[in-house]
Amino acid sequence: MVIEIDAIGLGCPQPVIKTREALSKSDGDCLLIKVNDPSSRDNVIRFLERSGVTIETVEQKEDTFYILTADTHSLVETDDPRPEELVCRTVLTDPPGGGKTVFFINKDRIGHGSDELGLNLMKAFVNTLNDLDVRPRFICFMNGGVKLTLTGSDTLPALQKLEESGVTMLVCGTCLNYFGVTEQCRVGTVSNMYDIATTMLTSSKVITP
Amino acid sequence: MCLYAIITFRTTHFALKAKRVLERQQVTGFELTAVPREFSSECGFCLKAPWTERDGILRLLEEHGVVYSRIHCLDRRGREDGITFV
Repeated sequence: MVIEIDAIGLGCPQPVIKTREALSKSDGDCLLIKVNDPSSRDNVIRFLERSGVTIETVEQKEDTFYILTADTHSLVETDDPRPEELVCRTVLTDPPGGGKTVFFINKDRIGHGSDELGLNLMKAFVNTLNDLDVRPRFICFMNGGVKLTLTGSDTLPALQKLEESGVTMLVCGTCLNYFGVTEQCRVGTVSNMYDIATTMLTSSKVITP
Repeated sequence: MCLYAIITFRTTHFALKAKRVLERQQVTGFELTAVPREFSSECGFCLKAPWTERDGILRLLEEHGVVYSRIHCLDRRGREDGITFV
């Protein structure tokens, strides 16, 4: 039997608290936890792992993450995890009421006029995103924009930090292939035209810096 | 206690030149980045470098004719802990 836990829209640490309650009442059942925030997903996964629960699958459909556990018969005794110890991120991945925002980065510099200035503007732009309280939900990289995601890129550390904070990154596989740098991509998911186009079409706002 | 030095410039050209000079001299550990919002600067770029490296960096900038404006000190939490006016 699968116990379903609907934690959609709940702020941290509520998804973890609900998961813990369900776990304590479960009689060897599998749990299916639904959340719609990457931070909540990560917190719930961390909590389950610390509790000795095996996670079968983590899937994303639309904006919802589905975390399915194995049966909980195999639970091992661990220290009682305290949800309040979990990190609750306060960074918003979109403006309040603003829906889903996508950054579409289609070159490795910002604007025209001076390449030197444009490259440095792009680096400063990406670095600054980590200092803001609001961030895009997705960043899509195409054409020369994929160069930002490569080993040795000035922007790679900042992009990796953004990804850790819950920003999803889609990197054009055709573009990586064209430049012969597929193996050097170090952030995000190598993606395709269908996913990138769908992401942009289902967003409320697409911004190209 | 100062952890990072934020060096600001009068013009964008000096900020970009500072980066070029330091890269040519194979200086590492610095970055050209946006001036933190709480600082005022004529130019939007600044150099962020470990506080302990500032003297060597400033010497190189002076040797190569790069004019800078101020040196801000950032503490461990990234907050300002003093300004040196130049």
